[in-house]
Amino acid sequence: MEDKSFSISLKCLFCDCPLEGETDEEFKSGDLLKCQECSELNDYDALIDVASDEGKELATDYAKSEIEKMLKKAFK
Amino acid sequence: MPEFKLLDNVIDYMESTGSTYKLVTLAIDEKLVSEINNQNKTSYTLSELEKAADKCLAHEWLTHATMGGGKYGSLRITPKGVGAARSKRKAEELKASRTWLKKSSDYIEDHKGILIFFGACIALATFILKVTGE
Repeated sequence: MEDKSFSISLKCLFCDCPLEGETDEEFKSGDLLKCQECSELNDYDALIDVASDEGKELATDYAKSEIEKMLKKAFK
Repeated sequence: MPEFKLLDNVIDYMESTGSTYKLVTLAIDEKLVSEINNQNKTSYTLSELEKAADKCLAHEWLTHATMGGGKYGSLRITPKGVGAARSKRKAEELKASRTWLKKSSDYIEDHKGILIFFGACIALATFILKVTGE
């Protein structure tokens, strides 16, 4: 199994559009990010929680598929 | 918005019992309607809350927790739903804590279109008065 990196974009919790902002702007816990599409404010911590859940799901799916491949190869 | 009343109700229950979102399910029924109406001093009907639940399901703020519980019988809040409700709550708290100066500034920002229109009307009226010489 090789090292794999996943990239997850932060999406608005209200309209699902990817959140865009100034590239040099840094956000921290407690900040509210405004969606450019629907103008709703998104809590930074909530966005990170959702993105981390999504990341865990992606990593689990990847690990499962790799293990499946390895087992298939081993019992060929 | 009844959607956020539903989500807030679940989050309040989670916080009061120390449960995570995975452990809490809700059913949209008359009991929940009266609970939400009593808490928020509103007068939502069952069908209004069912429509709100449909919206929550469409946005993936709520999901079906078990099979066979009917459409509104066994729902669970999702992390996205917790996030949306938390964001809305925080945004409302922030809105409520603004100073009068910030409130005025936001009002102007929100209504800049109509203010420009009024400004243009005044400019046009002044121009017409100047041309007609009255």
